[in-house]
Amino acid sequence: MPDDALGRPFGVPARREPVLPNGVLGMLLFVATEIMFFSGLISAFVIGKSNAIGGWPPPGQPRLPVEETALNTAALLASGVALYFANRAFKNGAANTRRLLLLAIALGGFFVVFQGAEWVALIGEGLTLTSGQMGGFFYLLVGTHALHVAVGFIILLYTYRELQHGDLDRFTFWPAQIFWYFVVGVWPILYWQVYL
Amino acid sequence: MARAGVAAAAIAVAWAADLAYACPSCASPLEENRQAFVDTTVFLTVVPLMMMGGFIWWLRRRIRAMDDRPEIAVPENLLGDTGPFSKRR
Repeated sequence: MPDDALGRPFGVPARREPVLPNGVLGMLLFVATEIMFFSGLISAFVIGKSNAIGGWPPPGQPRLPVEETALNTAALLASGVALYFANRAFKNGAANTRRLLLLAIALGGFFVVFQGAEWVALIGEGLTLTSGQMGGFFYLLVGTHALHVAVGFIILLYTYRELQHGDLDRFTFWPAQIFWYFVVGVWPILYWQVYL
Repeated sequence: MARAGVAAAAIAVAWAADLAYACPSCASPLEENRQAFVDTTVFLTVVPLMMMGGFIWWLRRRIRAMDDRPEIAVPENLLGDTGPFSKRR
């Protein structure tokens, strides 16, 4: 069959890769709503904090573990960096994609477990959801984020499974990364507002 | 004339917001609280605008980058006709 000027056989339609795959567009819209959701929560917290009589944290409330959580923050940020390099390795077809993705998942898992241990200690010290404004805000903000980390952790596990089976394509990996970068990116803001 | 009257009334009402306690932070005696209201209002206004602007900027850049890529010929049997608007359905 003779070819046309572009070098393709006659009768074969030319298609371009979509500018934005459906999965990516959907995830971007979802993350945009999540950003507004967290912005609302942070705004409410900032106003609540500024309204507190007697300073913040309120007297008689336990102090939050700032140094320990700084370590946990570093672990979550490192997880984001590991995922970035996993994506680069995936694009280049490098063999260490699996190892880097596993590292990102392990660091995310460490964050969740560490935070769970922190919560157990804080509840033991008397900081509960109903112990006051500080407890209410703390568990609302940090708890909502923890829920997102847990969901992101499951999504990353799914991508790892797909990678192991050789079924992972970038249209699946890309939305998973967007969600994880959001989860990683919002945490330093929460840490700064809630802990410092 | 009527429009000018409405505009004047709107400005007068906005000017008198402090008197009417029509702003959420006017009643607060704490300066820090008033400032927090202003800061969060600015924050919640700027964030969606930045998101939309950033998305449009990124999309434009991506479309320009993709314009340079050659079209890929895909045989019909591989392309298929399986979408929700498929003629074969």
